[in-house]
Amino acid sequence: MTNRMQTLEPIHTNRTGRMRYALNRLILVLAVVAVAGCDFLDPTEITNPTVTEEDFTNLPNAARTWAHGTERQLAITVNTLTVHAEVASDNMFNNRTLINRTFDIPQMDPTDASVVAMQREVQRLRAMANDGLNVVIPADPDATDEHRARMHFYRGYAHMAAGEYFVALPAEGNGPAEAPGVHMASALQDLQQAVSLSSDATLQNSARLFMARVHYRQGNLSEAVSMAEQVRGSTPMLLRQVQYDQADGPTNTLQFALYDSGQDEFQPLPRLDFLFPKYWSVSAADQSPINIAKGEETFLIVAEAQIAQSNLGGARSTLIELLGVVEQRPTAMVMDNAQARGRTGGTWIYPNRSEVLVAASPDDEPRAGLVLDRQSGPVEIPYISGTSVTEEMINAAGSEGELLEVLYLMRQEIFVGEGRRMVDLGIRVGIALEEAEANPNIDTGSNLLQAQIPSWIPGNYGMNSFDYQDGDPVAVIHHNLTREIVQNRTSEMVLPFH
Amino acid sequence: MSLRVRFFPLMLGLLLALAAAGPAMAQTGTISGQVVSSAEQPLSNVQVSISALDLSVGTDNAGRYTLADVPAGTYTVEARRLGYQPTRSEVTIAAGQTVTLNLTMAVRAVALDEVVVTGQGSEISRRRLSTNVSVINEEMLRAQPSARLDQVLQAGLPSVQVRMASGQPGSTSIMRGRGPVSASQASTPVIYVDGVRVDNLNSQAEISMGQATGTQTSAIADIPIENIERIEYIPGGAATTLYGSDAANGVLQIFTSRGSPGPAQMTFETELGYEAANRAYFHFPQTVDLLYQNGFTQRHRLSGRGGSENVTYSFSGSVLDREGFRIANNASRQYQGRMGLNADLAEGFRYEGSFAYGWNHYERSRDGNLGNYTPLWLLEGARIGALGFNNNLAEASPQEMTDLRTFLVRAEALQNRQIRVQRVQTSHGIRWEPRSDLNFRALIGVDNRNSTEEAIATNEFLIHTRVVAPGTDDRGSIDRYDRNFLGLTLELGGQHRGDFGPFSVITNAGSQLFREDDKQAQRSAQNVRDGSLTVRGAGVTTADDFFQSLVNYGVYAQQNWGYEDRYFVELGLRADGNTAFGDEIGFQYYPKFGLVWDLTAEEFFEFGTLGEWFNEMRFRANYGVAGNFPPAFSRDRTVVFNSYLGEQAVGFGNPGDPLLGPEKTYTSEFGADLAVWDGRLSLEANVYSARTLDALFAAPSPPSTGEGTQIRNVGEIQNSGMELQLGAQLYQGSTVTVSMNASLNTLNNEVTDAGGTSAFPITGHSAGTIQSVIEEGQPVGVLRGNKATFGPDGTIESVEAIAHLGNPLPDRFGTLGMTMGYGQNLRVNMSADWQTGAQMHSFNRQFRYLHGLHDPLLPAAMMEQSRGANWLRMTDQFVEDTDFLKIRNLSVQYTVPQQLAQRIARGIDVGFSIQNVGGWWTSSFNPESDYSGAQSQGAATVGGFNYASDPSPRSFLTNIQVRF
Repeated sequence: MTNRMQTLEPIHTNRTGRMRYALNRLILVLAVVAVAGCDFLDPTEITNPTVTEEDFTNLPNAARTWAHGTERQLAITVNTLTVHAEVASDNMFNNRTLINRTFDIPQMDPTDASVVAMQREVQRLRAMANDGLNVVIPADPDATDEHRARMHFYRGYAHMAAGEYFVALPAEGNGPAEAPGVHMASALQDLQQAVSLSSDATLQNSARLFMARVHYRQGNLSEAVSMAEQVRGSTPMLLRQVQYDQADGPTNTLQFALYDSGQDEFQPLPRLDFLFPKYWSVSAADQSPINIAKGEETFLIVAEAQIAQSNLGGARSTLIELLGVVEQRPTAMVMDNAQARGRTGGTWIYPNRSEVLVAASPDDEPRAGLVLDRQSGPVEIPYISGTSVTEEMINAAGSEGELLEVLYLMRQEIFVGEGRRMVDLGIRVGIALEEAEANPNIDTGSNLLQAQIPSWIPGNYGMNSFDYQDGDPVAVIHHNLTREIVQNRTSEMVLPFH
Repeated sequence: MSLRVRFFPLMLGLLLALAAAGPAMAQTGTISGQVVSSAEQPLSNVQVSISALDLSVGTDNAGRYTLADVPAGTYTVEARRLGYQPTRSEVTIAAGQTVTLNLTMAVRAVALDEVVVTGQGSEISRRRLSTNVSVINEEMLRAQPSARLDQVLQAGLPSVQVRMASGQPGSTSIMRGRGPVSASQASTPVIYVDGVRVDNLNSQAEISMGQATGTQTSAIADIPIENIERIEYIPGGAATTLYGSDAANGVLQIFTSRGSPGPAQMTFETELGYEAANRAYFHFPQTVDLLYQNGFTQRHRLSGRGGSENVTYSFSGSVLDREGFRIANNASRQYQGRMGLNADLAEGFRYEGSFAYGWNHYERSRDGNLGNYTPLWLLEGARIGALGFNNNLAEASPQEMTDLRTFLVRAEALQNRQIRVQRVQTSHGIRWEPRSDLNFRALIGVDNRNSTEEAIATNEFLIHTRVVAPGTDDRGSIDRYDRNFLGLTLELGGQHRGDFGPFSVITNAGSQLFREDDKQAQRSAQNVRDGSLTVRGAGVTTADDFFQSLVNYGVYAQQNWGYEDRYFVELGLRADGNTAFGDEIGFQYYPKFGLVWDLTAEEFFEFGTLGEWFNEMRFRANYGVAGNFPPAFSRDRTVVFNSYLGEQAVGFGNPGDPLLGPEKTYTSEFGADLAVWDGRLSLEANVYSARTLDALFAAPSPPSTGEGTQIRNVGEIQNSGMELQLGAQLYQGSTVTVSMNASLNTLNNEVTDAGGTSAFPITGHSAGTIQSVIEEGQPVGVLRGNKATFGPDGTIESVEAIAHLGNPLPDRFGTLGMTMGYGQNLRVNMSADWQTGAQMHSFNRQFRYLHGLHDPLLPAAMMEQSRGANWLRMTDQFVEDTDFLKIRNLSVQYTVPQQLAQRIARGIDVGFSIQNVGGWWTSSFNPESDYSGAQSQGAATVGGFNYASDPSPRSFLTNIQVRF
């Protein structure tokens, strides 16, 4: 007992002894603190706050969350394709530098980040749908046929986009480059599966419309008409949109470029002025959706098939019927006075008064009613579909070529801002160098890295150029590309039924 | 067995092994005394030694030492301390006698043979090192008053280039030593303050107000710089091997003062002055009249030091208030304090601690590529016409200028962007010297940085700046970004000095662990009504967060062998584990090897012709490896949860890589140190070649995989160059002394292997405009964009897309400094830096062309062409050479004669200085205003973009220092 007491209570005879005692206690306290704090110092206690893929598949309702995530990816893919395809067409010109400018020339280099982005988003949609079907849904006991149908729908859309927008693309990660026809065949399989598995009428009809589009693009006239008629007969007002989310994204880039920026980012070709802004916001929380499937397309496919079969009368009737559908689409009154139409330092000054006439080319008659006066109050915008084509114009089109020109003008106007015109003009994007350099199955010297830009597409920003100065009564567009593609309709690059 | 269980016994075993080393000591007689400075201040931590007897001991806080067990005889006693000229004295001792030997040491002017701290806190004579160390001492720090660390280093480190990206307070810089060794990580060296690794993030945070195309906030700007005694920089390579997976960019060590025994000595210092814009940096001098002012600046500092024989202390606190050189949105305020303490706890035990606190507030202005109301873009980019004013300020009428000024004053008043930072740094160590030849050190320290960035855009601001229509009331927004960084450093190490006949061996070994926790959060609101400063109740609120954490744990050992004080061999190894390494990566090893031949100690040198000419001649060679660890968690394959239309939406996250490891830089170096004419002319030369293997490339996955970017060890980068540093005492008269220093560094940098990845951008814009990219066969960050070929008529004939337009890295750079003394009281200092061979792009110029202004550097015919269609087709025309020589600091310091000062104080100094004095440059714009933004947290950037960014202000400062 005595010894123990002596051990616990040493007699400190000098300062050094006291200090040593204090130091011993300090080391003891530090050791206790170190042990208590070991979790903080333990490397194995470092935890990634993000869920690993393996952990996710074991979570409840994984299929539902994955399906919604793939819908979000569809919105991203559509946005990326749309904004770039609009620049790479005569629909719009990019005045500023935030978004690609070389597509306006048009110039689509394999090194261009936009070329990369377009195919990456298409491939990501395919890969996500793939993982949904092969990894997530099999692991989720609560997965339904509706989830499977949606995955096939998304993968079908991805293959369709690969077949429409690109010269060629791999159909799997690091796979060989596949021609559009391969993708289109895969798209048909997936879309048919979506129709079979789903009980959602909008999904089924959208899938049928996409199948009609695939057949149309492949030149399969009877299959395209058959599928289009199925939709036209049941839901001529079909509308499938992808939604955008101001709070959490993704957002609609064209809405920013056409409206929210207020800096004249994108300016429409003067003959399309009356259709803009296709996307706008009323309040800060608004994000406009983008249409990806509209009943109007079935009329256009049927009418073009009728023209190809020399049934011009039938085609006229179909197009006049289409005017009725367009007429039924809603419009909105939009305050758009922030658009200065190039008067804030843009490349061209655009007409901005309703009295200005627009000629589609130096050979075309100037037309009225195409330019809106945005400074004097709200303007009426047909945000689903709109057209300047009238019954009179349709009836006046006597020849096959004239009627096709009316039809393709309607396609341009009805699908404006939806990323469809670039494909109609015959332009396709090549494989990105980034893919070729990393993918052992694609050679960096391959011709497939080059974009398809038909000879009738004028260079040096010619798609967007026109003559107009403030005070001029008429704006004259340099090139009527609708006429160009109709004149070159025997080319495989355009007008698939001809 | 967990890593923890394996790691700590390893550390303990290493230390016990070290403790068992070392021969026993003999006993005969005693030499004792005190070592003081020229100013008669006691000097602690001085190594006092008798090399003939292998005896060495350190002085205590009172500068006292005792060399016991000295055999009778005559010996040379030598004293060495950091930053002081070594001193020698001969002493004769008889058996049983105690001899008192007091020594006085002078501050070194030319530091060729000082004691430095390299390799984890252990002191070693520089003579023995095969690597070079750059030092900034207290006197040099005083000559260049500055509020932030990187600015202090700008002209103070001869082989490091520091470029301040912007004149906005608290903004980032680019710090680069031996070239950019990484394509994915910033070139900023790792920074230690009193042995504690601190936050050195010199780019935007993952979630932050700054973006890649505007001014970003730097964590270096708010490192408290009070009470600094000394800064050491060691370049990446063999010198930093012992710092392991984190040191390929070099290591910057800051040592703070902990006082010395004696009565309390207080110093009060006041600095007053103003900051102004240098007109030469602007295209329109009118921009300065419209947007800038002479901004008052003041700083007041109180410091003190003193202590008893066993306890010494030092403290310093300051307040800095700057009005800012912009008419608004440029002010800053800073409160900083640091205290240091040394205490002898018991015989052989010493506590060493420091604590610092800093509070910083900066205002910010929109700049760079933020668009809309970005005043420098509107004025210098001639974009102001879009808002109805005259684009060409040079031709604006007085009324137009008045209207524009009215518009700008209101817009500036309505801008509201702020940054607040609080920082706590503390370091606590215990040093144990059981024997004179053996010491151990245990250290724990913390760096905690808390920042809040805030951007508030009111409807009134948006309406005034024409972003939204008058009457709008729902576009106001608030964005708040919080970042909390907590860094913890733990170190256990020891040093043994042993002599075996002609051999002397210094052994260092130890272990180090650091942990970093980085938590970030964003709170944003849209649809906010004016006047509301809270996100609560706003129409739309959003939140985001980011968290990363990592631990690095390593052991190291190094031996430095000397033979007769003339041949030295260094051998070292560090082994590191890191939680950021992939699952299939174990410990990573970093070896080093070095050789030194000190001719000065050779007999043929001392007594031969060489000795008549040279005072110092030393040759060095070394080889070493240092690393950069990958970002935390990038090894894992993850999914990402997003909210989309109010529901959970999952998507692909990080692709993951189980083989992810550090990139390693292998450096070979040859060097020579020469001094002639009694040390009045000194030259240090290094030639190095550094090859980064397994370089981390943040290269995108192939698009066909649908996956995002994964950082991978796929590349190879080569840096090589030469570093020459010259010091000269030009004149040394009885009253006048003039000395100068200069440095010349060359740099060759190339991405030698891209590992099959396609060229990818690290900064810049889209491929159609201009980007800084990583591309095989090119330097890191080469500029790419459209290059035009002009026809005979002066118009564009053809355009080459993504052509190489220039290299933002200089091929030569250096510093220049001069000091002139007049008597003991007057001292004039000048410091400058320079570069050649770099190029930079000016978007300001390119925009001026787009917006209709005449550009004399372009073919005249292009003035008549469509500017909108052509301005981006000839981006090469707006890339210019950026050679420069800039005088960073010019200062005059005067010490009031003692007989005058002593009536009121112990001493009084007065001074005047000009910072960013001016200089010469070849470009049509300021070659340093560079938004330079890295694209993500800690990512690589080399700059190269002049775009609506404020130049650093020119400061005129007077100061008075009173010592009590």
